[in-house]
Amino acid sequence: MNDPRAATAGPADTASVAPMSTSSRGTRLLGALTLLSAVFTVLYSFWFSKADVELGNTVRILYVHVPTVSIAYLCMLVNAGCSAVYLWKRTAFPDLLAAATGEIGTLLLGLTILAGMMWGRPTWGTYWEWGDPRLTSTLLLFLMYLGYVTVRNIPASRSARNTRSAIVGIVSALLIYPVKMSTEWWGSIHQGRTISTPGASKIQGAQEFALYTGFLTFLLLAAWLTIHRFRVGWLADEAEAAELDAVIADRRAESAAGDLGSDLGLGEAH
Amino acid sequence: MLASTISNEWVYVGVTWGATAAVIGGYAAYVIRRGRELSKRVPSERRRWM
Repeated sequence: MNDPRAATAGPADTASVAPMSTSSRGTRLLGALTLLSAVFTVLYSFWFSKADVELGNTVRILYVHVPTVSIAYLCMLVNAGCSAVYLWKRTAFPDLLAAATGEIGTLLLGLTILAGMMWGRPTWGTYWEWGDPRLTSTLLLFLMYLGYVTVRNIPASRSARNTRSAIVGIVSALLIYPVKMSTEWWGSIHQGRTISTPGASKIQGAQEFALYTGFLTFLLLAAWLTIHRFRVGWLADEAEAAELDAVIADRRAESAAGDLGSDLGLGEAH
Repeated sequence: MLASTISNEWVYVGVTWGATAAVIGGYAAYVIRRGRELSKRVPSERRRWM
């Protein structure tokens, strides 16, 4: 427990001083850093970064689009790694971390697709192009992770739920590399890498810096959300287990009371 | 094409940033609220990782 009072409290006081939320000193500090970084991202995206010569003001959409997809990929890779560790070790920690990163990765990829559509309309003249490999494969990846989140929420025993979702998470992650390489392998109206080696990036100066602050903001945000979502997952499993324990204890008490009643000849007066 | 759509650019920029802030803000609020609800149902000795 992070509350220093908890260390000195007696058993009767523990429940009253234990944290009643998923927040802690660490998450509050991380949240403050995220907000600070977000302020810098907004300032650099709308104030210091000027409209692009070719893209105009739509370049400001890229300050969301590129970081969200990068952090979504990172979340999905963490999800796959944790899923593999879960299948190996069968412990709660990697499973809950996989669940948290899978859900947050799905959310970020959804925002990536939305931002891409908003960028495509004024730039390409269309929100969506079904024949394009990058767009279609990204949508497929998104649908696979929606499947992951769905499998995660299908009522089942904890072991079955964790195993099924771990397999879906690992299989889904296999699509990340083809999606990333789709512009080079199959050709696409979608541009290739925006950021590459220093000096060779497609954008530079304040635009490049705005993109980097976007990366930092979404990285901090994903970390903050992951910690909270992990704790929610832990609490949900523990709440279920605690309620099950309470039901079993009630049944045992009822059974014991029934046995005592039988021994005393109660309930057999007829 | 860009020249003809220049006046609409800010609409697309606004939708992107607005939707991103709303979705992430909404999700964060949901997670925090759910954490508070669950914390009340879980005995303190079971609250590891807090």
